[in-house]
Amino acid sequence: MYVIASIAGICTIYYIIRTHNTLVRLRNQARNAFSNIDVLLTKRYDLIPNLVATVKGYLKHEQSTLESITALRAEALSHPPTEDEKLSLDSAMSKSINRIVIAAEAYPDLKANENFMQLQRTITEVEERLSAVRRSYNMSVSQYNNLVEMFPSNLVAKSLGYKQKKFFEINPAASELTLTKADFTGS
Amino acid sequence: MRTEEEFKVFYESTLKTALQNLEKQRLNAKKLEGAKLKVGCGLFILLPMILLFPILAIPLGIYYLYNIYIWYEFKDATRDLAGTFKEDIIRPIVAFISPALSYHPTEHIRSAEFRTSQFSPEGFDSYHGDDLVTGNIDGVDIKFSELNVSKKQNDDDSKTVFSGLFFVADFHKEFTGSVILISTYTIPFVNSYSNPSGRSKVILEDEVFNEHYTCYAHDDITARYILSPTLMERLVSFKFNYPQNPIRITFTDGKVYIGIAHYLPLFEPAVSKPLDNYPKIRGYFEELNLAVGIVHDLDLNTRIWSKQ
Repeated sequence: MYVIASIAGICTIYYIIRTHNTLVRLRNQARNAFSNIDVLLTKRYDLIPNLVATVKGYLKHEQSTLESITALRAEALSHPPTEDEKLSLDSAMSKSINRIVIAAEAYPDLKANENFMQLQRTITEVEERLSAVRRSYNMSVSQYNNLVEMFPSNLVAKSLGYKQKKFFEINPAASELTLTKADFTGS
Repeated sequence: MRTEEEFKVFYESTLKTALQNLEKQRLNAKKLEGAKLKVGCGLFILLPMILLFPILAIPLGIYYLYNIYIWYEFKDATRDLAGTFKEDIIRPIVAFISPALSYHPTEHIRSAEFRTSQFSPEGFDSYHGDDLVTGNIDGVDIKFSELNVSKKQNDDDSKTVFSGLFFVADFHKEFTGSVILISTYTIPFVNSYSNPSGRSKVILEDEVFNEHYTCYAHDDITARYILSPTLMERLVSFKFNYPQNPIRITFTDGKVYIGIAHYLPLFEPAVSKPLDNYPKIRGYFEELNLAVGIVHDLDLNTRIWSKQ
């Protein structure tokens, strides 16, 4: 009887340690992805004043989008945002940038502007890198959340204080910017 | 990309006459083919006969030497036939697919580029190839050739590292490190590519993609940056072009290296079979057309990133 109880106890302790280590590994993996996002978000914030300055003379009907993207940048830089704030800021900013890029399609002069073309390429690259990091983060979060939610690992996660993490909202339009080859026919 | 209907018209108007001329050359070569068998088996038949009838030693010896001479003639004729075939048939097919391509029948992709592709981390001892095609398709520099690469295992045995079509093109994104994809292939008698060392397996979000390829990379973010959701879909469709062939793809040094394994020579004429055979010639066209089509299949010509 004691032998069985001892074996069960050892197995339980082993399972708790293994689940704890897996949770730590996945949480660190997600944190690591998040730190990469920080670098790219900063790069993106740096591009916004240039983008707004380049397009504001053309996009008369998109003034509200330009104002909102400037406000989002100001908000992001005013204080260090929390993880949740970053997630929502990133999503809102992706939508605004994509809207500006799509609106620019209607202005041939703007599309032919060398500065805008260069900017658009840089934005595409940053957005694609962000998309890669978001996907990496979401993959880690998905595995982490599975452990936090599924039985019996949820018992370990709950007792050790692990909570579910939020996903990055992947906007298909923003994850692969809707740029076409025609955008660069002038290049 | 050229369609099969267009190729059929091209075949009837241009290739058919050239093939009929080549057929005479093939038949002449075929007449000499028997010498190969006679030289191979001759000793086993001639030696006992000479022992039984010593008087026949001189005429049989002369006959055997004559067959060795014919065998060499056959080898020359086969080489000439292959050379003419590549000039008169493969070269026009390459030009038909795109005038922007050039064909070099005796050249191949340099071994340094093969090394860069990391197809053989352990190195190789033998490196041969031919049928190099180079060119620029919609702003993308491409090249491909047939390659046969092997590594010695011991004094008598060597292992094939790669045999098939090896394709190189510029890749449109800037990145550091490398990402390797190996197609999942379960036919047991086919040597699959060895798994790359020093890299971790990356599980991507596209389950269909994960069923068709195994991805290895130093870091998963670079893998996801290169393998956008659209490219993963395109790579799955691309694999359907080659249902029988293991595929290995390496993204490194700003280039994409694609190896499509084949187990028979790709663009060589068969002496034993008639050359004017439309399905066979269409096969050459399809092989070349698919290779050139990789640029569009994988959307390598899209230049919306800062890399020029």
